[in-house]
Amino acid sequence: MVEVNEELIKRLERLSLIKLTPEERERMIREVKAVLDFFDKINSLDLSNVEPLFHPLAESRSREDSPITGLSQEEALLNAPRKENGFIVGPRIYSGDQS
Amino acid sequence: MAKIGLEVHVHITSLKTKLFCSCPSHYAGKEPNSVVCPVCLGLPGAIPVPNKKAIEEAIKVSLALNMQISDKVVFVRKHYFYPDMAKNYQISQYDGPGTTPVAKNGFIKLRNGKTIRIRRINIEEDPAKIVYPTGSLLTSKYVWVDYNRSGIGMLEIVTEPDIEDPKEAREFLEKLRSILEHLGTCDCTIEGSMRVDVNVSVPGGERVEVKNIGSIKGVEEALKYEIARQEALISQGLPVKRETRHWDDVRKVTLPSRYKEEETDYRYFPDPDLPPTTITENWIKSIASSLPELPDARIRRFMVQYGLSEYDATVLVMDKGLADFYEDVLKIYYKPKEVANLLINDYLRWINEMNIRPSESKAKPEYIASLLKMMEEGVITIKIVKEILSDVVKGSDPRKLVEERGLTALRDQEFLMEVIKQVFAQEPDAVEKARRDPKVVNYLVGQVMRRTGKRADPYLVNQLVRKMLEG
Repeated sequence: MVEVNEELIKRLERLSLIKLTPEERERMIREVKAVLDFFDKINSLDLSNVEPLFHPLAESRSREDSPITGLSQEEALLNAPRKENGFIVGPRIYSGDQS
Repeated sequence: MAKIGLEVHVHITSLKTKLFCSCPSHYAGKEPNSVVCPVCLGLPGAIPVPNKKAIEEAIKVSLALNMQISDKVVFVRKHYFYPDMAKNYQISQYDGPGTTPVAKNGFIKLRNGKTIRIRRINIEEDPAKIVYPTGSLLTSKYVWVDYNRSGIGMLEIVTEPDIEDPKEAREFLEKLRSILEHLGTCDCTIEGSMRVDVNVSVPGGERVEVKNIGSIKGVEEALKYEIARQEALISQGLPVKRETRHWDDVRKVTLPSRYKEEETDYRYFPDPDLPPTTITENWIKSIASSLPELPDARIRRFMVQYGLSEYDATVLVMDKGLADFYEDVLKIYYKPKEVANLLINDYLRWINEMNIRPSESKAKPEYIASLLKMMEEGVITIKIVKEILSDVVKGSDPRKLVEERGLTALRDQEFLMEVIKQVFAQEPDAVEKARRDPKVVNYLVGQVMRRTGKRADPYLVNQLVRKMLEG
């Protein structure tokens, strides 16, 4: 089983793009442990005769390839906090060394 | 020797709608963020529904690439944070617990018989397009995001690392492109419709990934650069570390990306919004029975039907637009070898010089037919054919060009003799030499051709010059 420690929580912070205080980190260690313990309980059941079920529905709907008009540009941008020339403004991407 | 694997992303341009919503998939020239809906904007609660035709296109390509096709289509979420993906995951496919790519284990054969294995094909959605308003990827202070491209249906075609040099990579991609164009799945002339990530390593070094190369030529250049860079490090005793780099198409260099390798964890899991779609044997059979003629079969047909060499047939068919054009010319002027020679040796050179694809040429099949017809009838010389071909590629009618510029062949013996006499008078030394050395005769002929603006019939001039020398 994975060891739940500060290092793991910090890695999860990086993957989730959030920052926790040391107190929150302590709490997370306890809560993630509890979640994993619960899964351990499930794992203790013998389910070797049961097919894993990934979806409650066996078959997907599919769609014909015919276009429908969606939102206008104005509607699409209604919730964007920052916009410019019809684009949504996002943060800079590259922060590596610029050699 | 380098070890190269490719990940090719192609837009399924034959689709009219996006992969998981009914938004139109043709967004070229549209206002940014004007071809979108809650699904492709990634708004909370929007439910994706797969496009049946997209799955059919994936099966078509899988059949053409000799793949083993899965009995179901399963989609997964691939998580990452980047402004091009509003819901923080891309819907893709994965080979893992409960999930499988649409097809595995295929191959493409190269000209020399070598097999390049294809590991898998994934169906996936394209992210949004990022624009850098204040510089480049490297320097822009912020970015603009356009979701028109978000959700466009794509295929990711991944090879095994069977490719050994940049030229092989180029040939593989040209053949793949030709197959996709023959299937009608991807019109690769559309900008951005084919993008490639390459994985490349040299002996003694780690594997380096170069992401997001926009053209086949770019792949060849990026690989050449990257192999040289890695070999230089190793020859200096320095390590080649495992990393992800980007191709800068302006400066023609690869540059390191910001993410550390250990942090790449996409946390794949089956998308609960998308239950599996079953692929039945009958579905595959009906698609297989409707496949069009593919490049390998077309090359063989060109050899049998038109008597072309394997090399010539391959050059024509490796570009579907060129092969179609060739057959269109033959419908008007049925001289298969003459037409093939002109297209491969001369026409293609101008196309390459103009940096366009053959399908973007303005020449009509009638133009090539009339060029060759005028030459056959002796109206113009081969030199004139070659000379005006560049204008024909730009859309000029060769009959008009010949008329306007007075390019008809000169066969008036009396006139030609006058020119030859002038040349003899001005080149007494050459005339002396030509009497002993037949090679110098060609020089004299060349002088006559120059004075007649290449319009003289070179065969006739040659005869007349020899007669003069003897007489």
